[in-house]
Amino acid sequence: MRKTCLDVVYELAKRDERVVFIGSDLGAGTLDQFRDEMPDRFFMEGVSEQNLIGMAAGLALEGFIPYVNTIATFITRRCYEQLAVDLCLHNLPVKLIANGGGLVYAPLGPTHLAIEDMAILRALPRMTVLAPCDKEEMARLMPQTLALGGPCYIRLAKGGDEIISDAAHGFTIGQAIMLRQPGKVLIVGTGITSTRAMHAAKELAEQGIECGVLHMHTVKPLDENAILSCLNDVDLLVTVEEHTLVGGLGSAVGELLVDKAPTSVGRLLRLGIPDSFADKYGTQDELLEYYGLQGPQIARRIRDVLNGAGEQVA
Amino acid sequence: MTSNFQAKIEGLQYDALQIRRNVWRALHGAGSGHMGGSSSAADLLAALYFHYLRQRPDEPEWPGRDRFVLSKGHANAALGAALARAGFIDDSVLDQFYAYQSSFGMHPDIKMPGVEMSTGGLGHGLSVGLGMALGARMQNLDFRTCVMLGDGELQEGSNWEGAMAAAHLRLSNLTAILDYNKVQQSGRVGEMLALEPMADKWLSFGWAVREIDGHDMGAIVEALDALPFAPDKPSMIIAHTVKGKGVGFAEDSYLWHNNLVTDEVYERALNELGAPE
Repeated sequence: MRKTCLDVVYELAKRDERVVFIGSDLGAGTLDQFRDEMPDRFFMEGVSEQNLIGMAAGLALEGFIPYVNTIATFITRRCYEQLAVDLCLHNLPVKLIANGGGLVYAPLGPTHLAIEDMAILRALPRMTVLAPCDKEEMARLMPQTLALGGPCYIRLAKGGDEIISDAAHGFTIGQAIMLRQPGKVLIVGTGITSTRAMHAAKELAEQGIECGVLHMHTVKPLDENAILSCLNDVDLLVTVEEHTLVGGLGSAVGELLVDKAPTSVGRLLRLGIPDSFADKYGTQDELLEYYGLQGPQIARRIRDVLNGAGEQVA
Repeated sequence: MTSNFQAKIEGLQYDALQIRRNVWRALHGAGSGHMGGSSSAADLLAALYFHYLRQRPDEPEWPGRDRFVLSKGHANAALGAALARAGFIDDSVLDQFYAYQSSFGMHPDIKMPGVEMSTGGLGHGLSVGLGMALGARMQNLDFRTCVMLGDGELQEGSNWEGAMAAAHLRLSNLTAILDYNKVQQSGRVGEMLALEPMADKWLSFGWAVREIDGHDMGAIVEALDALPFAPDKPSMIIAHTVKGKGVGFAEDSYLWHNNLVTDEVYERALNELGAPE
């Protein structure tokens, strides 16, 4: 997914002289072709995220469109005030490409796990927050970032992720994709949790429980209509995110229901990472399982709620 | 010193006096504000706006303009006074300092003509300024970028990331000007979190450095005219200044970093400065 993303940045740079790439000590081999062919617009700077964001803002003020790439935790937490003031307040078209969203960097431990990135970025006015589910969707997403007037955050998955997106669905930033039509249950996922949601929906269907999947690749601005238009037909709305339950997709959907469909709040089940730092290493998949976010676990938790035996929904 | 040069300096000194007077006027109208760091920067701003910067007040977005970023944003009263005097904004705006519908806030706001960057949180301007300077170089444009820093501001680590990067990128079209008044909100900078040796720090980070008396208009002009100080390095002007310069009771005192301006205080200030003309 990262390679696809950066390949598109290269393609965009080839046809648009405003495109600049700024990386932060990303290691050998990153966009060598870009560096060789467009050295004036390629910057591999050191590990100084506050300066990178400020520099990108200055370039954007001069008409450039910088794509900034580094590890998700560092491009968010380390330079949060620069994101707020330099990028969002000035509404500048700087694109943040965040390696290792969620639990991808499981072996590196809690310093490298980006589990609150969507919450803190979502809190910034003018910031668009994106989490595609696979590399094919990434290829459809990236060209659209060029015309996006303001800042955006692109959360990358691990790479080699199962392909669930479909070109037939098209792609528009801000418009959720119904990957599977809703039944009595609708799961809303983002990033690779939409993949896990598809696994869960398939299992539930085999057990006679029709379950849809709405892929919310754009967490902000949230596609409110995509959710509200389904509420009449579903008994249970489930959000699944590779992110803390504080402030992410589940919170966004919960806020929407409280504000615009308060009678539906009791039908919302939010699945995600509890308010804690990871105390395990291993792999992304192992941590997803630890937090109950793999397909079979999602299916079980939904069954339990439908049976009145599981987690309390409101 | 030629008589022409002398006349130029005297004119700029008068511009600086008007900036100081208007700082107190704006703060009095609003009731409070940052008189200390606004007054220390007045001579530097006068030299920038009325001698050095190539700008078109009637065309604030002119692409060829020199960029000026007030990174120590709390001195915005002085910037506003300079922008009004230069003709970017109407003089009456100075009577609307942080008023509800005004774009003249306590910190620079890009909604105001002539303001290049909204600042306020410290430690942002240098990196954004170096991005502008880099943008100029990449497009073969000859505009120059100046960033004014405060000394207390330099306690923010982001400045030193920017200092490293600007030197690494050899941005000779970037100038930082340090308003080194040595006093911050809670006391003397040297007692809060010491910054000396200042010049050595910037030299060791790869900058070309010149130290001047930031109230000696001749020295300011000569330093600006000597830019860039080196062909392949960013330039730093360390301007030694006095906080609250021009009004005795406010000089060199952390109590007048930010304070109320009552009618009585304003009258005492005007007794020293004279009223804006």
